[in-house]
Amino acid sequence: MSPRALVSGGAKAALILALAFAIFGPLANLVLWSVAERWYAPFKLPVVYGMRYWETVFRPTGDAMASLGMSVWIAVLTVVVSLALAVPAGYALARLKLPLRTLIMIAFLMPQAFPSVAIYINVARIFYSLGLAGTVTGVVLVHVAHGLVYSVWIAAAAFAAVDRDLELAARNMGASPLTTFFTVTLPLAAPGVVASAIFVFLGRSTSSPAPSSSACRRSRRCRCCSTTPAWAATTRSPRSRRSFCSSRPCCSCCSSSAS
Amino acid sequence: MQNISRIGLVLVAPALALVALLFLYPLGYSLLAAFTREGALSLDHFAKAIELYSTDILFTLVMVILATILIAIVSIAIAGAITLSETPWLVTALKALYRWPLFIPFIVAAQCMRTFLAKNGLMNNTFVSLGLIEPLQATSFLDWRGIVATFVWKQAPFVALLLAGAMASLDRATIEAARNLGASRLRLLFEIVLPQVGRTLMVALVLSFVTMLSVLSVPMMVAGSQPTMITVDMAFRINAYGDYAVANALGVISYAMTAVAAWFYLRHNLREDRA
Repeated sequence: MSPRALVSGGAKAALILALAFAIFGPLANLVLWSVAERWYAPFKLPVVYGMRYWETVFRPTGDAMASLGMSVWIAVLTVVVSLALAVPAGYALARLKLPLRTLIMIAFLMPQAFPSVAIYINVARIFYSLGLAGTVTGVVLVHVAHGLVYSVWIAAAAFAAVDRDLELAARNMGASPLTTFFTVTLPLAAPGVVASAIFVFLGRSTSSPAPSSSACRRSRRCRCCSTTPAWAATTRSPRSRRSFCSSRPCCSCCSSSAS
Repeated sequence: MQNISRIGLVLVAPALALVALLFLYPLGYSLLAAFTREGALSLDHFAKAIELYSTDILFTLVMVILATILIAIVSIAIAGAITLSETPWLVTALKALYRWPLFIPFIVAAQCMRTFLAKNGLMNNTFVSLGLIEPLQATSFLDWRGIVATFVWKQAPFVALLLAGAMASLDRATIEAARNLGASRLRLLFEIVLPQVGRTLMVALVLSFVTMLSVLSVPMMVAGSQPTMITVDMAFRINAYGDYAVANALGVISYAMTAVAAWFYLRHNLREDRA
């Protein structure tokens, strides 16, 4: 190897190492803290290690596993529903002449844009009037509305990238529009559509404000921090708890920090 | 043409209806709260929001724009290296590395950064151990730098992922042709590759911009001090005072920022369509 190649190889290796540190440093930090029972200032690594916090999470009385299962189930449902809505919408926005196309695209962007806390409080109010509050359907619907921007925008971009000549060729050979769509357009756009599904799944399995407002009454614990706040311990009747839920999605200490 | 347009509307309708019911309708309540006072139309809440929070509004805008620019630079560098690098191990390593933050929710990312960037956090400790800085030089990054760092850490992989995907589906022949004619890799990136994926880059950046604007946990957890971002102010108005009106007014202001970003993107897009 020539000296020049060595230098450039070294520089590349240093760059990758720096990137690895930037990406894994914060994560390593989190893992360390989760097994650190005591860790104070002058020490660069934890002083006492232990699994105390993990035990707390997986203790049978903690709902962690059930919550995890519920989260995955809701995320899967959300992906299915949002794909069912986004594939036709994305196709129409990419291919067909639509009036007010720009406005429609912006409409899908809005739920992502408008800070959600204020919106969800009103959503909860609507859900109580419809009897959807605290149901899986309600939570999934909120997630779908919120995730539609990813699914519709990315699906529209994917459909727009499909070569129109291929569709025309299929039509010339006598395929119906529907056959063309399912055998030519959709398979070609599939990578983009799958990408959008992944983003919906990730976005939904990792967010907290929506479940907190509409599934509050399922559990007597705060949806954000899983503690049992005073209101849940003292209010036995579902009605008073419900009225509490409609006004405050999480216990007050975490409704401020959840996003 | 009339006929096709009607089918298109039918296809879009279910998705639009959902957004209308679960977003526009509640948003209506919000707007009503922001623009009225005791039943009459009034801009009082906006006046109050601007009087109390004009620094924070500006701060939010600067943070999000700065983060968007940095995200663009980082993600173009990553995606460009993956597409154009001739060092196979570099490409493999990059691909294995850069996606991880995608799977980390904002609230967890904020928690990671809060301890990582602190004065005695893992980052400063590592730098001290490596002899890069003296222990006394260690400072906390938990202010605006922390917010921007968290945003870039979380969103750059998202933009890079979309960008690398778009670059991978480009016609390699044009790239090879330019390379044979002696174009440097930097020139290849900026004159051949980037112009062809400009639309994807814009979509990804607008989505990131908008997402960062609505994140509450990052400014809350990473930088507690003043000035802060308006999402924190909104949560504060609601939690401390039950003042939905001013919170909603702040929401409308942040929505106006989003609308400007979306408008820029769509104008650029429409011009491209016409050309």
